Order: sequence, then structure tokens, then C-alpha cells
Amino acid sequence: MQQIVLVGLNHKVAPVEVREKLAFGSKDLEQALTRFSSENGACGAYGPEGAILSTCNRLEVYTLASCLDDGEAAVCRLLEDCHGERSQAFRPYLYRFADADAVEHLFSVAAGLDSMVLGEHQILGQVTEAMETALRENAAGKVISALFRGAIETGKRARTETGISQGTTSISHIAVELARKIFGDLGSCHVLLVGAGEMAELAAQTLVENGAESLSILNRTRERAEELAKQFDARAWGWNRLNEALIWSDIVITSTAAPHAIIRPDVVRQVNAQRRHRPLFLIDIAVPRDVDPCVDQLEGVYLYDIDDLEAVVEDSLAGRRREVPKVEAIVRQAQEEFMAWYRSLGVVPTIVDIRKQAHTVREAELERALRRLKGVSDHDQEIIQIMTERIVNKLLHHPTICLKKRANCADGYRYAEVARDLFGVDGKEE
Amino acid sequence: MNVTGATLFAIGTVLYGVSAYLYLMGWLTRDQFTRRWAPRVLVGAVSLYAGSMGVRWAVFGFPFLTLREVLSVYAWVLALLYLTLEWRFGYTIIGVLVTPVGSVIILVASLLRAAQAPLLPLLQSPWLMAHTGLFFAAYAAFTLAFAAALAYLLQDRSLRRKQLAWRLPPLPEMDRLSRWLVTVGFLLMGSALISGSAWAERAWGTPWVWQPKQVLSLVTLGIYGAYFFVRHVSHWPVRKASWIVVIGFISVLTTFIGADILAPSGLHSFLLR
Repeated sequence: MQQIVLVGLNHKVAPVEVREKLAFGSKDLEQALTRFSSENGACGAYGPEGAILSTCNRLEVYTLASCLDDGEAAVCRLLEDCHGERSQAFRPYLYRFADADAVEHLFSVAAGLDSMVLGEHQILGQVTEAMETALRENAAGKVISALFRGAIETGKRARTETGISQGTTSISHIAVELARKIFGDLGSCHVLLVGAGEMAELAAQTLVENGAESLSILNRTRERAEELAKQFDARAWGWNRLNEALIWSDIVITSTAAPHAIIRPDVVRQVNAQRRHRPLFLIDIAVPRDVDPCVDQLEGVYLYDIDDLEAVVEDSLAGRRREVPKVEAIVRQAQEEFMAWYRSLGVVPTIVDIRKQAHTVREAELERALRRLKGVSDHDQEIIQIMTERIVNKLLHHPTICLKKRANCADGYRYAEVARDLFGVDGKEE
Repeated sequence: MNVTGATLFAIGTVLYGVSAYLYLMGWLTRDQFTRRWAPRVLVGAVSLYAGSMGVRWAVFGFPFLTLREVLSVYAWVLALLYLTLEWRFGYTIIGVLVTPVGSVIILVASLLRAAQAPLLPLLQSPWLMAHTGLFFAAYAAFTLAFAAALAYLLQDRSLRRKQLAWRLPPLPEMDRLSRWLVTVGFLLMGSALISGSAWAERAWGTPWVWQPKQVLSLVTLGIYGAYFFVRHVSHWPVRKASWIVVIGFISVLTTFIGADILAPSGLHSFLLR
């Protein structure tokens, strides 16, 4: 029986110079996958089935081969052919797994256990895409597509049943989450960006993408403000109108190069009176800080500086790390279920052959008996026929169940061989 | 006491406790199975309890007069109102806060003596149902409003301390829920007081007799009235106003149970029956 083979590398074992050489563009990927698809029933050039998972952090090829070494050789050939690299350049970095280990690896990957940011969501989409591409190119057959479906299922289960994807790990999404906690719906929130900077701009943009009503920009230089306003389709404020802008906004992201605080408690107190205690959410990304930390004490003001946000990131990751054992248990269970199914595939041809043989014998004997019996009514004929069927089915019932069950051991194929021998079914396993 | 009624009551009490446990665990572990089953088990508890009440009604007539009945009816109405809320809006955090309270109350109730004697003739009136029913509904609404206010305060605190409790709902939603429930409770309690005076007018010839329970109900109503005032007229920050909901709930408890301890006599008392 063929083995499921995985050969690949990821960010933990291979430096980016190696990973980028082996990464597949979408065109190359399709071309590589066509070499797996078997035309006219013939085996593909690299193996009978295959799928390629290619992301910026990993490249993994899943295929079927008679043994692990054959599988690895086939994958190395594929990578050499597709990228024109000599296999010596990347071979030392590759990891290779077979059967249960390969299955467990893919399931862990889909669950986010193997990702750079533990439990991230993107990988699940990438696994799904890898399967869809492989199906489209006819590379994934019965086994590989079942394997990927199992992985996607496991990834979803891990995320709903455990906290592996809980919490937020990017500063801009934390800003969104916090804003949701404070304002509920972002639809009526006005975002104000004070100063400029990559992280602040990204946070502002993410807030708008997540439904914030408007974005306005306040900058020390009017030109810069207008330039940014044009870029983000926002409104620009002059530097001297900070108070007015604060009254009008709900979420304020500050990121200026000012050497001292520009938003002081007296300013906020003054503004607050006119805001009627509508909550004010201040995100201070600047170092040194733009918002006086005392502002935090004011009613209705929620102030987060860069350290607070980093602490939230670390908190989320720590929470996710605590969930790892639960996810591993889910992965192991799913792996065992999948392998049980996969090993039972190995005995299916044997069972089919035995049944076919038994029914051939039954039909021949039935016909002979009926020929020799005289005066048997149609009704009685039917009873005899049903009786023969039942005898065969009952006799074969236990061996069938037993074979399926035994198939789930490491040397399950031996049972299939013994069964073939005992029942005198011709030929070897297909 | 009727055996069927008692059995239904006992199983209902156990289910109530199980559902409280499921709410808590579902919230802590986010296990889908637990979260799906918590409300179902609570529905089971509520229906069993309704059955036990029906049985008792058939045996004794109007069934809620001793402390046992009163407490368990309160826990029952609370669960019923909460389930409506969850079905409509789905804030399970309120269930996490409220079902343990309900199950402790119903457990205490199950340890007390059941009603032995039928009602005083004076109380055998359709007014009793309206009057007490409205009060129970009002108490339950105020309890849920308190839970929502508590969720608000916890969320606010965690946001200020920067220890993010992701499992609490957004501030404005809890505020809206709490305000809505206070309004509902206020209207129910107002109607309960009016129905009480109307009944007293007929039975005693006077609408108001200044019993401790009556006075305390007025105080409670006054506290919630103050809540509306600071919200809509003075525009207090929500955090401060939420504390009034907490105080209002303490006042509700005093009205509901404390009044009997302060002045254990009169028609409003159920401790000594």
C-alpha cells in the first residue's frame, strides 16, 4: 500500500534565501501540479496524487509514494524541474514525514500550531487554496483531497473549540477590538490621526476598513496633512485647531515627533465638557508620548500607549500558548481518525474480491440447483434465492468487519494477504 | 405536600444548578457543546418548575406565599425573563452572572418548608395574582439590569486597567440593555404599586397604610427615578450612573426580603407563614 509522504521546509528550518528560491507563483504552481495528474490512468510524473502548500513561510509537497525515500526523490525532482535549482542547495533543509506523521503535521499546520504567529487565521485559507488548486489541476485524488479536507476541518475545530486564535496580535487590530469594546458599533465613530507614521496610518486605515465613519488628519505642517488627507480620502485640520478636532472625534491616534505631551489633562477636561462624556479613545503610538498619562484618570477617557498595546499582544500570545495542549489533542484525534480511514482503504480491494468470488459461486450453485428441482413455484424460487444470499452475507460478515478493523494496525496489510490466501482470491493486492 | 410537585421541584432545582455551571464553564472554556446546552438545560428547569407550580396550584390554590414559594417563583421568573433576553439579544454574559444567583436562591428555597395551609380568605382574590406577579417581574427585570450594569462596570474597569477581558460585551450594548431593563422594571413596579393600592382601597377602604414594605418599594422606585434623571437630564457619565443601578438592586433586595426581617408581620410578610 502506498504511503502519504510530505517533504517540505518552513521558517523554522530554512532561511528566507532558501524559501524564496523554492516559493511557487500561481502559474508555476498550476504547472507543477499538472505533472501529478494522471492521464489515461497512468501515474503522473511525480506521483499518483499531490498537492503543494506554498506560503511565504513554508513550502510543503504532499504526495503518495511506495516509500518515504521514493517520495522524497520525487519531490526533489519536482523542485529541481520547477525552479532550476540543484537539489544539493535545498536538500539539507528539507524535512520529510510519512503517513501518520505527515497527516499530523498538516493538521497542526492548519490549526496554526506551526505558524510564526501562533494560531493565526491566514494559514487555514492558504491550506484551503492549496486544496482547491490541486483539485482544479486534477492533482489531488481521493486520498490527498480527503487529507486536506481533514486538515481544514481540524483547523476550524481548533479555532472554535479552543482559544488558539483568541485575542489579537497586531497593533492595528487591537485598536479595532478596543474601539469595538468602547463604542460597540464603529459606524458612528470619527477617527483623528495626529501626526504621521507607518504604524499610526495603518491603525487609522484598519479602523476605517472596519467601519469607522470618517477619518481626519491633523499635522504640524498643513501641506503634509493635506497630502495624507488626499491619500486616505480624509479631512485635514490645521495644527491650531486641535481642541476643535478633539471635540469632533471619538478615536484619536497620535504619532508625532513632539518632544513633550501635546494632549494635556486641561485640554481634555475642557474638551470633555463639550463632548457630554461621550467616550474618548486615545491611542498614543509616539515615543516620547504625545498624551500626558494623567489624561487616563479623566472620566470617559481610555488611553492606551505603545507599551499598553504591546502588553496586549503579549497577553494574547501567552493565552494562545496555554491552549496548545488542547489543540494538540484535537490534532491527534483527527489524525487517528484519518489514518483509520486511510488504512481501511487498503483492504477494500480484498473485501471486494472475496465478495465477488463468493457471489459467483453462489449464483452458479443456485442455477444448478434450480435446474434440477421440479415444480418449484416462482414464489419458492425466490425464497431459495434469498436464502443463498443470506448465507453468503452472513458467512462473510465477520471476516469483512474484522479485516476493516485490523486494517487499522501498522501491519494491517498482512491480514489482507492472509485473507486472500485463505479465500483463494487470485492475484496480489491492486 | 404533593409528591409529584416535590419531585418536579427537586429535579428543576438540580437542572437550574447544572445550567448555571454550564453557563460559567461555557464562558470560561468557550466549549461549543457546553454553550449550546446551557440554555437548553435552563429551559428544562423552567418547564419542570412550571409543572411543579401547576401541581401545587391544583392542590392549594394560589401557590406562592411562604418564603420557599416566593424565592423559587423569583428564581423562576428571573430565568424566564433571562431566556427571553438571550433568545432576543444573545448576551450570555448576563446568564453567567444571573444563573448562579438564581440557583443559589432556588437551592435555599428548596431547603425551606413548603406551604401547609391554604390562603387567608382576605387574600383569596384575583388581585393577588396581578399584584404579586407584577412585583416578581419587576424584581427579575431589576436583577437583570443589575447584571448588565455589573458587566458594564467590569468591562470599564478592565479597559482602564488595560487587562483586556475579551469575553465581555461592548460598553454601549451593556448600557443600552441595562437602561432598557431599568425602564421595564420601573414600569412594572409602578403598576404593581398601583394595583396594590387599588386592591387595598377595595379590601381595607384605604389605598395606602405605610407598611415598611410599601415604603421601601417607594424608595426603590425613587432610586431608579434618580437614575433616569442623571441619565437624561444631568448627563452623568455611564459609569457613575451604573452605580445607581447597583444601589437600586440592593434596595430591591431590601424591599423583597429585608422588609420581612425588619418588620416581620402584616400581610406583606411571608417569612412566618
